[in-house]
Amino acid sequence: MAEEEPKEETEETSLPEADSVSITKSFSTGFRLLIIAIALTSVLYTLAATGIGNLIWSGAAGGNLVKQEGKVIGSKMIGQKFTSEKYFQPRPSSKGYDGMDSGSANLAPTNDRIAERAKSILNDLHEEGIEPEEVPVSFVTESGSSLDPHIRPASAYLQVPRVSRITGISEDRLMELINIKTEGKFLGLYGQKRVNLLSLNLKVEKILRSKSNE
Amino acid sequence: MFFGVVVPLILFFLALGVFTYLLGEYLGWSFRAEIGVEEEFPSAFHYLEKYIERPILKPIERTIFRLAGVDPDTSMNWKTYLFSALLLNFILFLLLYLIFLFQGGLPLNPADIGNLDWDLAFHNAATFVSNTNQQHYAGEAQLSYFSQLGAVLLAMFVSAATGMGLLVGFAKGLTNSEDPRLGNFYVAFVKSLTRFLLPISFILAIFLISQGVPQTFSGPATVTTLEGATQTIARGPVAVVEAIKMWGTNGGGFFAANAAHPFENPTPFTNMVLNLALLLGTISNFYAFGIWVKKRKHGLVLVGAVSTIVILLLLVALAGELGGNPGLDGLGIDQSLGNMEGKEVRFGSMLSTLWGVSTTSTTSGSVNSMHDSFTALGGLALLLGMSLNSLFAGVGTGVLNLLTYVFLASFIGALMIGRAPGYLGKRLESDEIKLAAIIILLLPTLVLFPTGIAVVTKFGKDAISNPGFHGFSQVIYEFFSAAANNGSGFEGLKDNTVFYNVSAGSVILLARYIPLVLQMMIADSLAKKKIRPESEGTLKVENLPFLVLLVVIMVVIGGLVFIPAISLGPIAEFLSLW
Repeated sequence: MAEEEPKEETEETSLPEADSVSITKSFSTGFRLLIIAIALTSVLYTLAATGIGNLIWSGAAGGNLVKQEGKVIGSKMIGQKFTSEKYFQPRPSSKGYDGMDSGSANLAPTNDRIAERAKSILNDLHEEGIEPEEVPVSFVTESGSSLDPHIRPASAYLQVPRVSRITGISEDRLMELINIKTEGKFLGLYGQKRVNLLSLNLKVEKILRSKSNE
Repeated sequence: MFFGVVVPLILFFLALGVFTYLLGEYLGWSFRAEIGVEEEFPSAFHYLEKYIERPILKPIERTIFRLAGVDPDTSMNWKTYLFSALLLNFILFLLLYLIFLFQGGLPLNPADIGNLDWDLAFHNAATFVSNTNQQHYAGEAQLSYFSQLGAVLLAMFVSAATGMGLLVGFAKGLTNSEDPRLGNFYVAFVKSLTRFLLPISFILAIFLISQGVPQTFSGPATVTTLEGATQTIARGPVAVVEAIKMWGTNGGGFFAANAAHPFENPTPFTNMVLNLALLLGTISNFYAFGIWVKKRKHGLVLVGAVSTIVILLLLVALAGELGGNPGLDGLGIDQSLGNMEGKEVRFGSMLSTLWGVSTTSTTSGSVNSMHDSFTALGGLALLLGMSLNSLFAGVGTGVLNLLTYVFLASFIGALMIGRAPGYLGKRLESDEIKLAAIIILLLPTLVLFPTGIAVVTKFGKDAISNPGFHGFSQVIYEFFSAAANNGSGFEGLKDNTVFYNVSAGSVILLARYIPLVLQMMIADSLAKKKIRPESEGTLKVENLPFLVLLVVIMVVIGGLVFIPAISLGPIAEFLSLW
């Protein structure tokens, strides 16, 4: 249909000319612009942010390393492997909380390995007398980073009897610790309630050490 | 449910609306000279002009033009405009390839990381130069700080500025009446950096450091844990990369786990800010486009049409993710948190789903949870988001992709009511519609052919890590992600092989650059046409009926093409649950 329409009159009128740019000129401009972009982004922007960041928040800029009696024992942001029964345990991790690696095993919901892993954790919990209904799904699934530094408060509560038995710290005291260490949602709306495991276990360790000093 | 999901989401989208207005006006104002807009801007911009633009921005930009040998008064036709952009990208591609190939011998390599193999170096260079950022690499183990800053960070800025530069030329073409001059690519490119990408990334980077994102040149920290074991913790200049990664719809993670890694995205606060940023980098362009073509309402219609589709996809995905994993139902555990496999405790399933849908309806492709572990419905929504490739898409190119559908909608809409097809006062004729049709048909070609090859060959199938229908989803997701220049993945796929590096890398380059050439041809064709005053009979593009028409055209033409293929993946997986 469009083909049969009469041609536009614009065909005959001459349009304004654009400026021509030679190819060698384009090459030289391209190279120079790229070098300027490197100077602006990789160098200036990066150094300015590094400078300001380290001046004001030096701890955070270095990775929020946590010290215990002067020795660095981890980063507050990065989950650690806890195998000893005296500590609260983290979520499962296919990378074993290796700080030089990240990302999960990427199991699909239809992959049987998710249920198998969950069953083996539930079996261990069952031996301690914990029923499945008490276990939040996050405690039997792997996080996205496999470095999740947090567990749900409910995941900590269900470990209280065991930690109390092994360490001799009263259950009330441990519950109190968990509640102190529980972080809320952002603005009460976004994210989940959570407990930083390294902070919690550091507290446990501190109490144990002060006990043995007495 | 109400206070846990509905209220937070409504507030999120309200915040998105407010920032779209602010940043859209700012962006429109920033390029008003290039397009020739004499419209009124909010009065606060007078102060911006007086205290920021004249004394600071303009002198800096003039200096850059002088150093680069750019004459800002030169006005280019579409060929020169496009050639300038492609050449700049080509030089960048070579630079990236060489850096990745030889990073082992370059400085800033405290973890002593080796060179990349040729195929991974090729895929990496292709994916970063094109704003795709598909991760076949694991950042902490395979990229040195030099590669992160000199290659990745640089490409994140340049690829986004290229998209924005082309958008400015395109918008200029639409507002020209019988004038093929699109302005100067280099000017638009530089201004994208100095006005849009750099200042906002800088603010974001500082915010991120304050919240616990590392910014250091020290190597990995080796610590003795509470239990006496040794843990080596990767860190580095993360904050600066993270900021432009989110703002420039790039999405390539400093770490393998991307924004699920606690060092990239440590708190729900950073998560919400970054989720807003990944959307705003491109939504603001739609609003600004409305300003440039002197129809603010048309910009709002574009934002509204895409938002409608995004919200529908979000509802589908939430239905899957909040419902939990049916495979765990028999165990009797507490699944009230939803599907938590591959998700972080601090975010939970709702924020992970919101992010997942945001990142696949833009070309960001960053993830804060593992998409491979999404339920069938969740995965379906993510694939559909990419199958349109024209939701919010990327910085600059997002508007170009959506306009392809807008041309079709205007064309079909006008024919339906018996008018001469037109858009913004320009006649739409067979040339433009043919080009638009090629652009739309390119995506299925680039997704379905390589997927077909991959699923019948050994090297394609060997990479699949999950059983059943989901395994097919892993492959088709890989090529969707490449062809939509998205970059996210069903990361269980073992994609760092010669086959996947070369095939996905090639798909990425074709999918980025062929549409850009065709879109600039459309810009040229329209620029040379006369703008006719609107009459009573003109199809209006700034009202609700057009919004609905656009949504329908996108779903029917863009979405249905993929239904047969997607049926074999997530739809079959969903049906197999019963």
